[in-house]
Amino acid sequence: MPRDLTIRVAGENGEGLLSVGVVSSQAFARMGLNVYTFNTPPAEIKGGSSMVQIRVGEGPVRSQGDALDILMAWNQENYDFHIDALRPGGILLYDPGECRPKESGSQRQYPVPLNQIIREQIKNPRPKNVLAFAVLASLAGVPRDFAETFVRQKFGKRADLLPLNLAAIQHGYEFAQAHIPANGTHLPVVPQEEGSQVLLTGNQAISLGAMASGLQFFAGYPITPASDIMEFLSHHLYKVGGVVVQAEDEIASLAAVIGASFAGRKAATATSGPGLSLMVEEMGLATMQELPLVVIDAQRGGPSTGLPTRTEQGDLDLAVYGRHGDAPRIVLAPTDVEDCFYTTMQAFNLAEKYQTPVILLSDNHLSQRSQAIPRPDPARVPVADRELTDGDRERFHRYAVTEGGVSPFAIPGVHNTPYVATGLEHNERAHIDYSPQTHEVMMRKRQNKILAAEHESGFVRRYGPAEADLGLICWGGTEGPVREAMERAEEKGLRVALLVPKMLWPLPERALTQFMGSVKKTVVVEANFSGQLANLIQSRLCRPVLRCNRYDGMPFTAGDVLSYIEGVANHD
Amino acid sequence: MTDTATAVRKASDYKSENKPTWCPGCGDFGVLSALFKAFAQLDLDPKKIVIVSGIGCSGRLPEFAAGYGLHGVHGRTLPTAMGVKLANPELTVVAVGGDGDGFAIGGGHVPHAVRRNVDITYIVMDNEVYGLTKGQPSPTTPQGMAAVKRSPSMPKMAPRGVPEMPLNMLAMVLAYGGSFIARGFSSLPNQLVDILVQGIRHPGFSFVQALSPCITFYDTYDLWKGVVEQLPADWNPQDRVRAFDLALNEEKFHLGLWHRRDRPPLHEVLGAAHDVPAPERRAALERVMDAFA
Repeated sequence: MPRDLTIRVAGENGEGLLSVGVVSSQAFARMGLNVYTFNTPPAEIKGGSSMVQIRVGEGPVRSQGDALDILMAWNQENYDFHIDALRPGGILLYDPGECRPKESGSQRQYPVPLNQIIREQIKNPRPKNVLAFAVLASLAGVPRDFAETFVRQKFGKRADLLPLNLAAIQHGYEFAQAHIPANGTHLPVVPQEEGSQVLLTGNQAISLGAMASGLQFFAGYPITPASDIMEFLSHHLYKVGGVVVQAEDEIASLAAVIGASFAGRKAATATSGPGLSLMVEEMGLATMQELPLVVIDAQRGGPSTGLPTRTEQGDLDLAVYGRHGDAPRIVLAPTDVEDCFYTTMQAFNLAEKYQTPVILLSDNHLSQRSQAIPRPDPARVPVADRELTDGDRERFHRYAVTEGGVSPFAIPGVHNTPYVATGLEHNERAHIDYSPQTHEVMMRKRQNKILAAEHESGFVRRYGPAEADLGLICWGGTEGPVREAMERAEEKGLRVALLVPKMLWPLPERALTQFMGSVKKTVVVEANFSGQLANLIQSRLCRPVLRCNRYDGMPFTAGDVLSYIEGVANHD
Repeated sequence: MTDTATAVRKASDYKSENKPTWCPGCGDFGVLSALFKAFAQLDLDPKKIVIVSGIGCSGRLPEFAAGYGLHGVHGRTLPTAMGVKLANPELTVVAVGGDGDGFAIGGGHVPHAVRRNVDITYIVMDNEVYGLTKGQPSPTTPQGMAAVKRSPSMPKMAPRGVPEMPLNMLAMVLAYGGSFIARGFSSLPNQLVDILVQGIRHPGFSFVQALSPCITFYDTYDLWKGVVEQLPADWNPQDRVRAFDLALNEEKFHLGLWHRRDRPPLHEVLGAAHDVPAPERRAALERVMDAFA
C-alpha cells in the first residue's frame, strides 16, 4: 500500500478538467484521507493547457508532491508536456483517440478511451469529468459504492445530471477494473467522524476565519487570485451581520474599509499585488488614524500584471516597506490551508488590539489549493475587540499617549465623544498639530505599539532538533514543502532544523537570533528572486544567510528543497 | 420634562472649538454656516453626524464642526463615506470637498456613489480653482482662463490660458442617474440651508454643488453674483430631460433643486452591517462549514 499518491490530470481547459480535481479531492477527503491539490489554470477562461494535481494519502500531505505516480493525459499536447514528470514505475493513462505515447520501459501505460466511452456509451459529453474521476478512484481503491453515494449526494439535486454521472461512474469503474491492474495504488478508507474533516481552499479558510473573527464589512475589487474571497463572503457574510460591496477599484475598497472601521465595524479587503500597490496611500492613512483593518494579499507572480494565475512570494517588501513616511504596520503570513483560518483570526485580533492595519500575505498556490483539514474550531482563538472609551467627554483623548501606545476608541453614534480622525499630524486630542514635539511623540507612539507586537506569542514555529548543522527559515505557503524536505533529510541522517515566522513585521528578531545561534548555517527558502525575507533578516540582524529561491511562478516541491539541502551538506 | 429637554439645538451647537483656517472672505464660511443651520433645523445629535472629507481647503471643514469627522486622503471621500454609512445606517453622513478633490483625483468615484445611491449628502464646494496649493487650474476652471494666478503679474499655471474645457458636474451627475441634484451659492445662505435640509432628508445620494468663491486665487464673487439665477418658477424637479437640457445649455448658474427622484438607497438594497448575537453568529458559521465537510 503506498504512503500517498500523486495524481495529475492534464487536458484542455474548459473540458471540465478543473472539476475532476474538485470531485476527486472531495471524494478522497470523504474517505478520511489527506488531500492537497495544485492547479495551474491559464489566465484565459477557455482553451489553453491546464492541469490539476492531487496528492492524497493516509499520513500528513505537506506539499503537492514531486514525481507523479499517475498521469492522465487527455491529449497529445498535454502528454508531451507532462510525461517527464511521471516517475519511473508510474502509471500513464492516456486517451488513445487523442494521444500516441512513446514506448516506455519504465512506466506502465494504459489506454483509457475517455472520449469514445463518452461518445458511444454515455452519449453526452458532460460527465467526462466524472468518468475520469471514476477511473482514478477505481485505481486508488475508492470503493465503487462509496463513489456512487458520493455522486448521488453531489448531483442528487440535478435530476438531469445524476443519471449521466452514475453512468460515468459505472463505465469508469468497469473499464478500469477490466483493463488497468491496480498494483500498489490502493489507498485505505480511514473511518472518521462525520463532519470532523473539511475540504477547503486557502481563500475559503481565510474567509471563514474572517467571519469567525467578527468581520462585518468587506469591500473588494475583482483580482486573481483573491476574488473568490469576496465572492465567498458575498454569499455568507450577511449571515453574521455583515455586508459586502464590490467597489469600483482597490483604492475605493480600502477607503470604504477605513470608513467602516472608523464607524466601529471590523472591516477587511482582499487583493493581489497590483491592488495592494494602489492601496498604499490609504494604508498610510489607516496607520495615521490608528484604525484596525485587515488587508489580505494573495500574492501572484509580478511585477505588473505578471503571472495572474501563478504563485510568488514577491510582495513582502511592499507589505513591510510600501509606504510614504514611517508608517509601521503588522504583516502576517499563514502557512497552509488550516493555518489560513487561524492566522486570519489572529490578524483581526492584532488589528483590533493595536488599532492598526494588518496585512495577511497568502499566495496564489495557498489561496487556490484545496486541502482536507480538521474542521476549524473558532474557539481556539479568542476574539479580541478594540479598547473603547468609557464615553467621558472630559477625559476622552482619542490619541492619548499610553504605556502600550494604544488609545481608547470612540464609535460614532455610540459614544458622545465626537472627534475628527485626520491624516494630518495631530495631538492626543486629535487636533491638527504640526509642532515638533507632537510629531515626535506621535511618531514614537505609532512605532512603539507596532514594535510591541513582536512579543505576541505563537507567531514562530520551530521544527527539528534543538541544535542542527543546517537551519532553514521560510515563510507563508512555502512551509509545507520545506518541512517535508526537512523530514526527508532527517531520514537520510542530516541534522536540519526549521523556523517559520508567521509574523514578518515586526520581525521576530529574538526568535530568529536564537534560532540562528543554534544552527551552523542558515538558509532562507522563499519563492522570489531577490530573497526578500533574507534581506530583511540580514538588514535587521546583520547576520549573513544563504538563500534558496524559486521564481518561475511554480511552488517549491519538497524535492527542490531537499536537493538544495543535500547540496549544502555535501559542500561541507 | 422641562422646557430645556424639548428645546431644539441651535446652529452654534454644531461649532467645534477649532476656528476655521480659511482666508477671511472665503465662500466656505457660508457653506459651513449653512450646514450648521441645516443640522439645527433637523435637530441632529452631533454624535450621530459624520462629516467625511478629503484634501483641499474645503477638506478642513470637519475640524470646524462638532460631530464626528473623517478627514482622509485626497479624492476618496465618497467610498469612505459609503463605508461609514454601510457600517451604521443610523448615522447622518455628509461628504464635503472641492471641485478638484471630487472631479479630478476623485472623479472616478462619483458615478459609482451615484449609481449605488449611497444615502449620503455630498457637498462640492466649487470655486473653480485649487486654493490650498495656491492657484492651479481645476477641472471646473473656464477654458482659456489665465487669471488663475497670485497676481496679474505672476501667473502660477496655464501661462497661455487653461487648455482644457471645464467639466459640467451637474450634467454628469444627471447622466449618472443622480436621485437628488441641487445647486446653491455660498452668498445666498438661506437657499443653501434649505437645499441642505432637503438633501440630508433625501434617502439616497444627494448631490449639492455649492458655488463657493476663492477670494485669494480666483475671486469670482462679482462675476457669479451677476450670473446666478433661480430655476424657472414652473420648474419640475421630476423632469430629468428638461434638467439635462438646461444643464447642457445654461449660460447662467441656475440655483435650486434641479432634480429629484425616488430610488431605494444602497443600504436598503444591499443591507448593512448590524449586530448579531455571538451564539447566532457561531451557529451560522458552523452551518457554512457543514457544506465543506
